[in-house]
Amino acid sequence: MPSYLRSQSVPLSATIFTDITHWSATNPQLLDALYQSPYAVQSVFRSLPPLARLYVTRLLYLPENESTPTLEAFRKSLRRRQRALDRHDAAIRALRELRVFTTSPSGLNASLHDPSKIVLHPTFARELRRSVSNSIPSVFGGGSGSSDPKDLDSFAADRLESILNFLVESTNHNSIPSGIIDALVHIGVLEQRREGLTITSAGFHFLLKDTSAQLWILLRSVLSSMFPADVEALTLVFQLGVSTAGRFYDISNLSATQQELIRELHHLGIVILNKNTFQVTVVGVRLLANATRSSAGPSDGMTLTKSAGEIQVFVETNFRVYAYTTSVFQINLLALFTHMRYRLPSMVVGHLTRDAVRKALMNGITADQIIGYLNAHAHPRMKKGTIPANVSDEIRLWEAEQDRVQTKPGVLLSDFSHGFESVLSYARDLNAVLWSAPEREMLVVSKNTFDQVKRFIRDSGIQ
Amino acid sequence: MRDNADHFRIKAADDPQDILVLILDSSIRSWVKTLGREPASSLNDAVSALQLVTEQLLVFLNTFLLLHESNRVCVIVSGSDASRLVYPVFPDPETLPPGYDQVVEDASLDAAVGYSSQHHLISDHYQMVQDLKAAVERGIKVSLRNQEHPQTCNRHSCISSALATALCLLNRARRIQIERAAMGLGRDKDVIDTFEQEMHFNGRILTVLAGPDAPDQYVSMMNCIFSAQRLGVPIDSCMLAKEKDSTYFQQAARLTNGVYVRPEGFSTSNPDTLMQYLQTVFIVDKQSRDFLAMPTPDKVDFRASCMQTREIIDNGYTCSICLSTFDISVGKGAAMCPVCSARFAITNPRKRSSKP
Repeated sequence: MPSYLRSQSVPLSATIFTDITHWSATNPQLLDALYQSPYAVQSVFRSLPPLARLYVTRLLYLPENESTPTLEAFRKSLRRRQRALDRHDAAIRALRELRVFTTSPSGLNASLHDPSKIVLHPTFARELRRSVSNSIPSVFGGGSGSSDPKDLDSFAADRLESILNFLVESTNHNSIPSGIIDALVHIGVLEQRREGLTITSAGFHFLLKDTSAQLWILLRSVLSSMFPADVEALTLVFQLGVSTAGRFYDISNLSATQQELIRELHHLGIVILNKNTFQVTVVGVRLLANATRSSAGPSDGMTLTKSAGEIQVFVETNFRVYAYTTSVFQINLLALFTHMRYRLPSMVVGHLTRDAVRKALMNGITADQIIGYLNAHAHPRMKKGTIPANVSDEIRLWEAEQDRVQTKPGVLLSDFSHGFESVLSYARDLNAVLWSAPEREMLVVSKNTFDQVKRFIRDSGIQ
Repeated sequence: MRDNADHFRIKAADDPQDILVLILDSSIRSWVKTLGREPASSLNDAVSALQLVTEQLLVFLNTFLLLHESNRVCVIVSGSDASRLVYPVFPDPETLPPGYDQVVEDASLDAAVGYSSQHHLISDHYQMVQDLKAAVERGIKVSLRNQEHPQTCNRHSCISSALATALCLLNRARRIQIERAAMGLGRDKDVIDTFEQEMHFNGRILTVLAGPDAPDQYVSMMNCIFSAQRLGVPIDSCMLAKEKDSTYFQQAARLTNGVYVRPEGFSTSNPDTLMQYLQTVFIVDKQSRDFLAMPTPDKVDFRASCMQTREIIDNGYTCSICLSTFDISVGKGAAMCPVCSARFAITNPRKRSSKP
């Protein structure tokens, strides 16, 4: 999967904090600058592991005369369970990586400094204390008015669906701004090929994720391709996380970079950009309110199915596919590996043909992904809730067909004057023979053993 | 693939939202006793101490609200005259058209407990924190003003009615949570009951006590404690009064897996100690208590009170119908239960039943 390897800086399921730690490794001032914003501090605090949050609150109002606690003291406050220790280690790791816990407090006497003592990042602690003592003004100056949440929802759903549609169709380029396309190529969801932009295997993986995971991937790709390690952009993202959905905020207070980011977020459906104001959508606030919690709680499922469209699939043993859906996106997704026959108002009928599946496989979609998708959307009335075994076996066989030809680098040896037999037996002993034709005195050895064979030929004086 | 390799990722189930009902004892009598001085001279001291504690509680509540975007608080102020739900604030029923007030109250209650979908999503954190501060300060003022009457000012705090209100709020929150989760999964309402059992409800009650137990509230207190136990709601208590502990709330903490703490060295001159206890012990939600060790009391006084004399008793009589307990002086030879009016067979009074 070369396209996925290229995008290794943006693994699909990572969180924004992976990017931030990545960036702050090269730019140590990034976090210091980020923590200047109380809103960023609030968002980061909220996104910490639950135990880490409690550790922070413990240290937040530590009386001055009390000695600074050590890591050992924190460990001692745990119940003696392995799960508790695991949580503790994860919490401390996150706190250290985001430098919320620092071991080198600035402004303290160096002689007092003890590496086992824990100190909160001074700016982080100051801004968090201000946040909980009601001395922070409302984000973006408070804003005014509000909109019907339904309008916000439908805007966000339209935007996401148009991006997803674009991914499966790749026809009407006009609907998607080039910035988003570049970002999609950057994370390896799309690939530039001879025939144009094509969806990759990672892209298919992307399509099967839930809405909030998809949006995070898009947002992170926009950030890392257009605003890498940009404090202003990151601050804005975290500010949006503590804002109120539907409220009209004034755009003129934002910096030029931030206004640019707002325009991109508009295309993702996270904010709605009006003339002089912008609103955050419900989806956007929910997405950004916590950057690390994976959604898929039972109550979060509703927006997902609404925006991405529901589909219920019957697969018959004769490879016929009946799909109940009205969503164009789901039909297009299914059409990636199904030969479509009829389209009815609430249903499509197709056939899983060898050609259609092969086309998908050649685009890098795997058999497991296809079978997984069909099983995930199997109609509840289907036997055992999975597609028939003969169909899934056949799809796997079609995938195996792809691998009929294996390529291995090799070197052809021919035109022997004498000694072909001894070279052949020597190469056989080395397990280096890929192909041989004794009657024509020709031989192919694998490339990595060629040097040894060459040495043998030279040493034994064979031409 | 490097998928699932991110250690920052938190499972939604590991980070549930939390509802906290804070009950603040605002009875003047208790606050005066907490300071340990004469009532008449130290009324102002008591009020300023209450204000100091309130400030710290507000910081604590703000921290709590910041922990999770869906965390919600309710605040009940319990004076000697009445207990009042001061936050969330409901619209005045007078200003609403008839029949409409129930709808509005339902909606704002659902919003307050954080489970109504629309309010939940577009809640304004900043506004919520501001409203909370204003509402709590106003609530305490109202409570203090109503206690000025000499008859009420000497009574105990109405803590058991506050506790009952808290349980009603949490029970409602739990219902809404269950219904929403069940609907999200596309299940019928019939399935809700079975669904109820697998659901983890994360609500709790924190009482900030300033005074001793009110013996006349023994029965209602115990009923509340057992309801909380059944509902799975921990009752945490923070006892500010010097020296004397509350046996009722110690029992409550023990029976509901709550925490009972008396902040060491708390006084009006040194209020920081309370802050530290709030931010270290009481901020810990139900789920995290599986991982963090909580303070446990050495000894809990489980002795019952006599229903008639309100004294704690070692030995006594119990009614065979309503299980009320009575001091020996009350129970011996009684023909009728003073609580449930059940008549006892007079013929053999010694066989009635006796219990330690």
